Amino acid sequence: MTTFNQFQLVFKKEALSLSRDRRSLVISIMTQLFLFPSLLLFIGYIQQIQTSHAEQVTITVGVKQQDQSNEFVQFLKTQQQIKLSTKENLTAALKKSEVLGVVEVQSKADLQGDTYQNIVYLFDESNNDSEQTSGKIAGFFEQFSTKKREQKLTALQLSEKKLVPFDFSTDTLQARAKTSSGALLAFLLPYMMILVSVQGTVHYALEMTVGEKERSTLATTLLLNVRPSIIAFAKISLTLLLSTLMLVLQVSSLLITFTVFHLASSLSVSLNFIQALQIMVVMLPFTLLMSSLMILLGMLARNTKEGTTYALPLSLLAIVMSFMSSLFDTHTPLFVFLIPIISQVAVLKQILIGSFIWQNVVLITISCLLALWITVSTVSKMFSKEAVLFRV
Amino acid sequence: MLEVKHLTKIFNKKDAHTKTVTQVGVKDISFVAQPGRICGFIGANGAGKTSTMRMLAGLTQPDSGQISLYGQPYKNLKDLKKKISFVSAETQIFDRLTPHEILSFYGQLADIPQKELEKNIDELAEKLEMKTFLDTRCAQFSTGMKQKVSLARGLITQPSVLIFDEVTNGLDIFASQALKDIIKELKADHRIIMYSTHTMPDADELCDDVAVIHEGMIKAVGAVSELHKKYHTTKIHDLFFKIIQPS
Repeated sequence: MTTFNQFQLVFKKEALSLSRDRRSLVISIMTQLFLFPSLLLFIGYIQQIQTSHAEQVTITVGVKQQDQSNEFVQFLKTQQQIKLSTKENLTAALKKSEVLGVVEVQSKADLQGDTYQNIVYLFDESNNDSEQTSGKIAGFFEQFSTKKREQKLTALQLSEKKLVPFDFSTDTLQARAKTSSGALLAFLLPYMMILVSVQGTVHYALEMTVGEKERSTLATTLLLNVRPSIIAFAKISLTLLLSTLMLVLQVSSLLITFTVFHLASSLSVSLNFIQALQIMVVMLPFTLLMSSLMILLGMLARNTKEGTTYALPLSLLAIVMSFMSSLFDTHTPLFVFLIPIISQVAVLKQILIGSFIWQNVVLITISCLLALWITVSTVSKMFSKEAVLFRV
Repeated sequence: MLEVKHLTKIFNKKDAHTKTVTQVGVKDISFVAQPGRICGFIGANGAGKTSTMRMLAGLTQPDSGQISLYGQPYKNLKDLKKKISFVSAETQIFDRLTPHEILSFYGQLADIPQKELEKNIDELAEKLEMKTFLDTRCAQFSTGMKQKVSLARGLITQPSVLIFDEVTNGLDIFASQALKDIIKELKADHRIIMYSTHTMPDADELCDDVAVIHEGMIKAVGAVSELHKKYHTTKIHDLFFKIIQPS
C-alpha cells in the first residue's frame, strides 16, 4: 500500500468520524451561513429605520426672539417637516423633549455699523432625535443662507463665481463609506472575519488531537500500520479542508447578502464577486495557519479544557491585533504586512472600500504560508514524540 | 518467540515545584514469551506493566535494551504494527464508527485484500458474537461490547503477538469470563500472548508463564508450575507476595 493510499484511508476515517458529529457540524455551517448576513441585515435595517425616521419626523423647534428674524422664521415655516412651537420657556421645553431644538436669533452690528444676524441652534445631546435633527436644521440654515447671499449678490449685480473663483472639495481613490453604518461595517467585517476564522475550526482541531487523548483513542490510532507523520498530516489536511469550506461558506453568504439585499447602496461598503474572490485570496492562507495552530495547541494540551484555555490567548491576541490594525494607513511600512492578523484586517478593509494592493497581498500570503509550514512541520514532529502523545 | 533484553525506560516528570525529575519506569528487565503459551505480567499499580506493554506494542521506545521477535530486533522489522496487537484500557474504540467500519479500516491499512478482509470480519463477528451489532455505531455499546470490538480490532490483522493490558478492568463477571475464554482459545493458534494484570485469580486461570514486576524491576520469571514449586505456593496471589516480600 502506498503512502498516499494510507493517507487517503486515515483522512477518510477522520472525515467519516467528524461527519457523524452532526450537531457540531450543523452549528459550524449555520454560523458561517447566517452570522454575517444577520449582522449585515441588522445594520442595514437600523440604517434604513434611521433614514426613514429622519425623513418623516416632524421637527418641532422653538424660535427665541422671532421678531428679530422674521425672514428665517418664514423660511422655516415653508419647510414641510418643521413645526414651530408656541411655548414660552423654550429651554425648559427642550429639556422636557417638548421641542427638539431652539433657534436663537441675535442681531449684531459689524465694524461698519451694519447689522447682521447670528443664529444659534440649541439642541439636547442626551436626546437622540434632538441630536439627529440638528444636522437637518443646519441644512435648512445653509439653504436659507445661500438664498439670502444670492439675493444680495444679485442686488449688487455680482455673480458668486466672481467672488469665489474656484471650488474645493476632497475625494479619494476608494469608495468612501458615506454613512456611519458603512464605516462601522468596514471596521467590523474584517475584524469579525478574523475572529470567525480563529474560532471556526477550534472544535475540530481539538477534537482530532486532544479529544483523541481524552477518549483514549490516540493510542488506538497510533497502533495503525502507518507512520505517525501520515496520521498527523491526514488530521491537519482535514482541518485545513474544513476551514477552507467554512471560509467559502462565509464569503459566499456575505456576497449573497450584499447582492440579494442591495446593501452596497444603503451601507456604502461594496462587495462584488471580484472582491469576494480577493477576500478569499487574503483569508485562505490565514485560515489555514489558524487551523494548524489550533492543531498544535491541541497536541500540547492534556485535555479539551486545557486546549480551549490555550486557544483563548490566541483569540484575545486576534482581537487586540485587529484593533491595532486600525492605526495603520496607506503609509504603513511594508514589514507590517508580514505580521498575520494585523495585515489581514488592514488588507480586508482596503478590499471592502474597493482597493486591492497586490504587493500587500503577496507579502501576507508569503508570511502566512511560511508560518503555516513551520506549524505543520512542528505538528508532524510532535506526533512522533511519545512525551507529547502520552502526557497525562 | 518474543525476547526482551535489558529493557530500561526513564520518564521525565514534574515535581510539586514543577521541576523536572527523572523517574525510572522499568529498569533492566529481561524475559522471553513463547508462542502457544500465555505469559502473565503481574505487578501492582505503577510497577511498570503498562510502560513495558507500550514498548512491546511499539507505541513507545525504550531508552536502552532491545526487543526482538523471532530473533529480529523491532527496529529492523517491517510492518511491526501489523504483527502486533495491543488491547488495553487506553486503546478505546472510535465511538462514531461501527465495528464493521473499524475492522475494515484496520484491515485495509494492513493491506488485506477486500474479499479476504470481509471473510475475516465475518469470522471474527461470529467468534466474538458481534453479528447483531456489527453495523451499529459504537457510542452506545456496553463496556463488554466495546472490549469485544477492541479485541476484534486487535485480531483483524492476524498478528503473531497479542498484548493484553488490564483488559478485564471494568468488565462485569460475564463479559470478563467471555473475554478470558476467547484468550484461552487464541492460545491454541500458536500465538505469543502477553497478559498484564494485577488481578491474581485471572493470572491463575490464564497464565502458563509469569513475570513478576515490582518497582520497575523483574523479581521473578518462569513457568508458573516451576515458580510454585520453588516458592512452595499454589496460587499466584501467594507467589506474588512471597516474591516481593521475602521476609
